[in-house]
Amino acid sequence: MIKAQHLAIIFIIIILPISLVLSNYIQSQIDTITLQTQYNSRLYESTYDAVQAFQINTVNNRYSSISDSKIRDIEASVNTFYNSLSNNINASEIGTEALRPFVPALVYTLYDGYYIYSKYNNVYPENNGDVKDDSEAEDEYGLKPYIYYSGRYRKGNNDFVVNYTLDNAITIYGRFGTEYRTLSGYLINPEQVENIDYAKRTLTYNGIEIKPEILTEYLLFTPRDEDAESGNYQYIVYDGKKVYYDPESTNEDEKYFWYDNYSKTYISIYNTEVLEYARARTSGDRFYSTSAFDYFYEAERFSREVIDLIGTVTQDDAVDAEGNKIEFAYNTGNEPIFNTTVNNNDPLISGSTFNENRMGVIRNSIETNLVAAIANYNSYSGFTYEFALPVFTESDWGKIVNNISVISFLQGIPIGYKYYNNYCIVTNDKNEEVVKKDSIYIVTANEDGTNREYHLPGCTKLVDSEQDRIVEAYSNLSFVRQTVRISEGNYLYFYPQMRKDLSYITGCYECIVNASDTYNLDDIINGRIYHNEEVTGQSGLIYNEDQLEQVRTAYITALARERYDLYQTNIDSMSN
Amino acid sequence: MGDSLVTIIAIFLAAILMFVFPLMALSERTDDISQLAVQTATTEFVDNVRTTGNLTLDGYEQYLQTISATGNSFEVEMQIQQLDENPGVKVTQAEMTKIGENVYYTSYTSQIEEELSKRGRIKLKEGDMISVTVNNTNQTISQILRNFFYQISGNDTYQILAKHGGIVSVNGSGD
Repeated sequence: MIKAQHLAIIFIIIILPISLVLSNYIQSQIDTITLQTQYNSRLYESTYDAVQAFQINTVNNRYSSISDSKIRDIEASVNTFYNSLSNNINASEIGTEALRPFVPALVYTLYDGYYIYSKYNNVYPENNGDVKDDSEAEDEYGLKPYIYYSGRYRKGNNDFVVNYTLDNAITIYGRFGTEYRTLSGYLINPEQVENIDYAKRTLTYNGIEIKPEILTEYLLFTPRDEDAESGNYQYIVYDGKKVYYDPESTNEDEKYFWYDNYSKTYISIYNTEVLEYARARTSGDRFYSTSAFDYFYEAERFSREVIDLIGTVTQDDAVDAEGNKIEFAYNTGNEPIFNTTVNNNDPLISGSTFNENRMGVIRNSIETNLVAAIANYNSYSGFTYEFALPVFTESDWGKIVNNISVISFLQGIPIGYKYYNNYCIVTNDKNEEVVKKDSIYIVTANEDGTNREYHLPGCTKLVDSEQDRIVEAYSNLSFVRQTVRISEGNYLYFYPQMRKDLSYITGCYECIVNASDTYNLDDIINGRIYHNEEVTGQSGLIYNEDQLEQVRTAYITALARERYDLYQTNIDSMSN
Repeated sequence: MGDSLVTIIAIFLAAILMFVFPLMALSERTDDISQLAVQTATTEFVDNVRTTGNLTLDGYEQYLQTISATGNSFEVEMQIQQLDENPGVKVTQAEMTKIGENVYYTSYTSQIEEELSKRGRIKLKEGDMISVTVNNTNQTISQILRNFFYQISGNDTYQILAKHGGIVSVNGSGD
C-alpha cells in the first residue's frame, strides 16, 4: 500500500518536470514559428505596398521614364516599404530606422536593368571636391548604380555585349572585327514582314495588315467655372508623351496640346519638331498614329542587321568579364540565339531560344550582383549575424525575369530559438516601364458604339463570339482610373477609354472580372488555337488564322504600337 | 476493509496519474504541433495564391496532403471573392475604395473544387480575395481522453483550427 503511494509520488516527481519542460519547449517553438509566419505576412504586405507606391508614382508621373524622376519614385517606394514594415511589425514607436539594419537589400527589377538599394560606402563628396578615400567615406543607404541585364559574347574576332530587356528589345555594342559598333532595336523575325509601303505606312506582319490607326482618349479638365470640361480627343505619342489633337480650336497655331496638370497646354509654334511630326500625321480632322508601322519597319531592318552580324552566336559563346565561360540556368546549348528566322526562335513566343537565353542572362546577372551586394552588407551591418542571399525557387525566378518586381529581404531578427530569414517577391504589371504580352486589352462595342467592353486578348468570349465588333486595343494603363484634383478632398475621376456622351467602359465578365479561362497568348500570336486535350478531351485545331484575324490584327497592332510608344532611352536615342 | 478500499483508490489514482495524465499531456502537445503544422501550411498555401494569382489543382492537393500528414482528417473551407469594379465605373464621382461601390462575387469550396478538377487551375486578379478555413473532423486522442473526464458536445468540437486569407496582389499569368 505504502509502496504504491510512494511510487506515485516518485512518478510525479519524475514526470512533472519532464512534462513541464517539454510543454514549455514546444510552446516556445510554436511561438517562434507563429512569429515567423507573422513576419512573412508582414514582409509580404510591406513589399506589396512598395510595389503599389511605385505603380502609383510612375503612372501619375508623366516624366517617370526619365531616369532622375525614376530614382525619386523608387526612393519614395523604398520609404513606403520601411514605413509599412515598421507599422506592420508594431515598431512604429521605435521608428522606421530600427528595422533598417535587418534589410540587407531591396531590389527593383525594371525594364532593362535593376537597382539594388543597400548600404554602401559613399566616396562621392557632398559638395564639389575630391573623391574621398574609404576611411573617410561614410556608410549610407541608397540606390547603387543601375545595372543592365547584360551578357558578353565572344566569337572569333567579335567581342560584344548585349543588353537585354523584359521584352524583345536589345542593345548590342562592342567590337566586330576591327570596327566598334552600337545597335539598338526590337528583334523580330524579319521574314514575317512583307509588302512594305513606306508612303502609305502599311505592311503585313505574319499575314496581318498593319496600317495607320486612330487612337482616342477621353479627357477631363479642371473646371474654370462650375462644369468640368471634357471631350474625346485623338492622340499620337511623340517621345513617350501623348500629343492630342484639338479639332475645335480655331487658332491654327493651337491645334495640338499636351495634357498637363489636367488642362490643355498647347504646343508652342517654336516646338517645330513635335509639330512637324504631328502635322505629318494629320489629314482632315483625323489624326493617325503610325507607331505600329514604325515598330515593324524599324524592327525588320534592325533584325536583318543583327542576323547578318551575330546570327551564328550561341550560348556557348557567352563569357563573363574575365573571359570565362558561363553556365546558365536555362540552357540553350548551340542553338543560334539571334537568328530569328529559324524554327522555334520567334522572340515574341515564350519558349523561343532567344527568350530562354534572355531569361538565363537576366537571372545570371541578378544572382551574381545580389550575392555580392548582400555579402558586402556584412561589413556594414554591425551584427554578428551573417547575411546571405537565400536560394530562390524556380517559380520565383520565373517571376523575376519576366516582370517588373520588387524583391525584399528581411534577415537576422531574433525570433525565439532562431533568426528570421526570408525574402519576398511581388510583381507588377501596370506601369509605364514595360508593355508585357498580356497587358494589352481589346475593346469591343455594339453597333452604335455604346456598351464598350474590354477583354484580354485570349478571352474565350472575344474569340468565340461574333456579336460585338472589335473596335480598338490599348495597353492596360488606359483602363486605369485617372484622378483630377479640383481642391483638397474634392476629386473627379475618369477613365481614358470612356467616350463622352456615349458610354462607360466595363470589364468583360468572362476574362477581366472572372479571370478564369483564356486561350494561350502564343497561340493567338501564331494564329492557331488547339484543343487542350487534358481539359476538353478533344484534340485538333479550334481556330485558324482566318477565324482569328480580327483579334490578331487588333492585338498585334496594339502590342507593336504600345511598345514603340514607350519611352526607351537606348532605342529612341539610336533611331533619332 | 478500510485498508483495501484505500488500496483500490490508490491503485486507481496511480493508474490515472501514471497512464492517463502523461498520455493526455503528450497528446495535447501532439495537437499543438498539428495545429502549428496546419496553420503554417494554410498560410503558405494562401500566400502562394496571393503572390502568384494562380490557384492550381497541384498546389491544392499538395496542401491537402500536408495537412492530412498530421494524422487527422480535415474539413477545408475555401472562399474566393472576385472583385467587380464595373458598377463603380458608371459613376464618375464614386470612391472606389468605399464599400458599396464595388461588388464582390463569391464562390465557395464545392464550386472551387469543381472548377479546379475541370480546368486544373483558377486564375485570380489583383484585388480578388481568398480565404481558407480548416478544422479537424475526427476526434484526436486528446479529445477522446478529455471526453473520458468531461464531455463537450455540439458540432464545433474541433481541436485544430487554422485560418488565413487576404487580397491577391498580382494578376494570374497566362502561362
